[in-house]
Amino acid sequence: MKEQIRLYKKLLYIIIPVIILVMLFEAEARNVQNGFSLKKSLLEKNIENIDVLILGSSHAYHGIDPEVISSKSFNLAYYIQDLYYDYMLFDKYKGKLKNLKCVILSISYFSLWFDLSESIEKWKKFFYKEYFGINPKSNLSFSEIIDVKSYSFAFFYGFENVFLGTINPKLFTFGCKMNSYGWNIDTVNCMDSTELSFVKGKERLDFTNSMINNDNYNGNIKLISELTKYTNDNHIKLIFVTTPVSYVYKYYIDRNYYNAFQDGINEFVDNKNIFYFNYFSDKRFTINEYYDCDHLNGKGAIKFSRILKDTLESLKILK
Amino acid sequence: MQFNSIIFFLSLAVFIFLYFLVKNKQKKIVLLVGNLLFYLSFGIQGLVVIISILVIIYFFGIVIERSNYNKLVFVLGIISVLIFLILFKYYNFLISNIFDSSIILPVIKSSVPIGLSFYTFSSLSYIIEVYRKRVHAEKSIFSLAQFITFFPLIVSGPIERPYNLLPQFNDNKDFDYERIKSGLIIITLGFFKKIVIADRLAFMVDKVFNNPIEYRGVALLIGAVLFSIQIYCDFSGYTDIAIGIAKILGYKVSENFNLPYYSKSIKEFWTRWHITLSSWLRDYIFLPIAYSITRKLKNKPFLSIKSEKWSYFIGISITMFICGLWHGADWTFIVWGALHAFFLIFAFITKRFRKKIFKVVGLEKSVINGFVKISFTFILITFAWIFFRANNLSDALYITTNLFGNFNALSIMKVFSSRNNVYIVVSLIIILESIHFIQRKESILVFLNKRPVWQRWGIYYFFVFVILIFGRFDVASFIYAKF
Repeated sequence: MKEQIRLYKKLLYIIIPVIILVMLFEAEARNVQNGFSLKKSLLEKNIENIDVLILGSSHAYHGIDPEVISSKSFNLAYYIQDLYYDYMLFDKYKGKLKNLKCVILSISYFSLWFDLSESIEKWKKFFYKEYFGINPKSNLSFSEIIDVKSYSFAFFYGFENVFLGTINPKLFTFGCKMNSYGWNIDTVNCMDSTELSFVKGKERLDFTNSMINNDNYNGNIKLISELTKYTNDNHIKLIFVTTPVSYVYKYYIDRNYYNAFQDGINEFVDNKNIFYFNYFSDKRFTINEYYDCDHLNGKGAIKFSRILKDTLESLKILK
Repeated sequence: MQFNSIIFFLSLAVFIFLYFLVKNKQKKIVLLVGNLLFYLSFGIQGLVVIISILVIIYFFGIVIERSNYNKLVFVLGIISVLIFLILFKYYNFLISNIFDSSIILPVIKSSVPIGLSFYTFSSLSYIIEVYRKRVHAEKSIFSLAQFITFFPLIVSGPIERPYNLLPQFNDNKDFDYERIKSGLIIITLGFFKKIVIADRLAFMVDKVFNNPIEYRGVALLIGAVLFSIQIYCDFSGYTDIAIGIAKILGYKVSENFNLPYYSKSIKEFWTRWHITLSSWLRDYIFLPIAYSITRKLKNKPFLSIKSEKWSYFIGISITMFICGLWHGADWTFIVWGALHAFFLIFAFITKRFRKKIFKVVGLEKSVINGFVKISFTFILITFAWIFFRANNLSDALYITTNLFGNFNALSIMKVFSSRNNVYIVVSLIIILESIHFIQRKESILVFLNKRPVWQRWGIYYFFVFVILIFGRFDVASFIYAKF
């Protein structure tokens, strides 16, 4: 027994410093700025002045430069953000958006059938909860409950990244490349897409199609209905937009889903308060204006944002 | 349940606590239950297979003894054990590669039970040693079950011999502070190799080997060298963890690695790499074949070649073919085995010639002699590893034919992803080589015991913190677990 106590004592000499180190890392990790914390602080900074709010997934985050649309607009879209989080974010802030005139909701080919919590990036639920207080759509699975990454930033980022970020903040950035309008400035640095090919387009489409689940359709339609009801009641214009994609991506889409997606959105359109502009097959965009198969790069985004602005102005949606 | 998973770690802590809580007689039961539960965590199919093999070798062990070591019974015993390996591992490969496609044979859809190749070889070893009268047939199936299902070794060895491990199950296993401390140190070293080095390199190696067409020249070369380091750290890391756990429980199991990349020849490499497999193949495949050929040729030359050369050539060729096949039913492994057979035979034939060359160029007694031999051996081993790791033969051929040229920094960065990663990988390899430098002189345990307390604890903290900070905790499986 004496020997056992000796061993446990020695083990404590290791375990206690490890626990202290983990706590230090957790504290440090919580200070690391990430895409969610930055977006939240930028949004809340001037929330009362925002007149155009952009929601959606990476297609809008990459593709719509808010500064082109309006000097008081903000891009709240983010990578793989689904309609549930678009709606919940809007719901959370709608009371504070006192100057809001227009909501631009980017709808992608897969949006109506997509649920973030079923995707490989489901870990983002943790960040929406942590920074925006938005509960996940469904309860956490058992594996998520027992996964320490569902609670700890240090484990989520990895101790190595936190360590490197502590030594030099430039060594670890987590989705923070956005300007004060919430737009992804990373696209500005990727002007040319020289590697676009049908193989890449097929790969990307396979990934997109893997996110489609028919069971999510009704729930997503219901969320859009809720959104349209609020915007209608509050005289806010709601603009559905589908951003351009390259021909290597478009080539492989499932026409049945594409048609169903068009029908689903057009159900809401009244051309008074709710509009839909589909640029999916817009031939004005060349291959050099894409970041990858289905995302615009900086050059393409600015061009697209101008086209969108002109359209909105011509229809007197934006003045 | 992999050794590098949190759930295993917690289960192990509870198991060890229980193991030392009970009396020595009850420890056997606790261990057997632990063994079976551990194996059950990989699925029920594997448990059924291992219990079947256990019953077979128990039965044949006794029958071999009672039949007065009848050869036919012995052969039947061997075949009965091998059937499982053939069915699960080689059957599909055989019907798709050897039999005519017009003959429609059913395909086995279930996966290979984890560790099957390892415990099959241990089981064969038991039957062979009973037949050779080196061990008595076990009268208790429970003792034999401990040997076959011993959980630290079941997934990836070391492949133990019955005469080494079986008697240890009868010894008392008291709590020994020094032994457990040593076990924990060995486990820590294993985790450092596995989750800090091997799993980090896996990310880069997978990029290159899963999509070799996207790389050329130096990037492929780096991918190949990194795989040599990865597979060593992965497998020897696993072995360290297995040896450490066994040590904590009071068992001394065989070493499986002895600084293999410091070998001065391929022949020496096989005495340092996966030692328990290579010695198994030597004792049960190579030597019996070599003796039988020598006997058949009656020590007379055949086609002007000495009988001992024939026995070596044929023995090595068959042994390395089986060695390749043991790793997996794929042509890549067969070519890998064949390459090693070629290296060994070529070295055998050119031994005198090479000695002369070394003498002529003045390298025989030079200080760089060892360095040149070690480097050349490493290059050959790395070349062969390309076939071992490649997803198919055409990928392997692409890599081997595009290894040189295109020496630009961009392609290097494509493999490493970031400059930080280059620094980290280089630093980790320096740490690994520092460990090897110590191990060339003495064991790590002896080295640590000689240090003053502050240095010793400094080293403990250093490795624990390095594992915590730079370890990959996303539970990548061990490469050899699939064999």
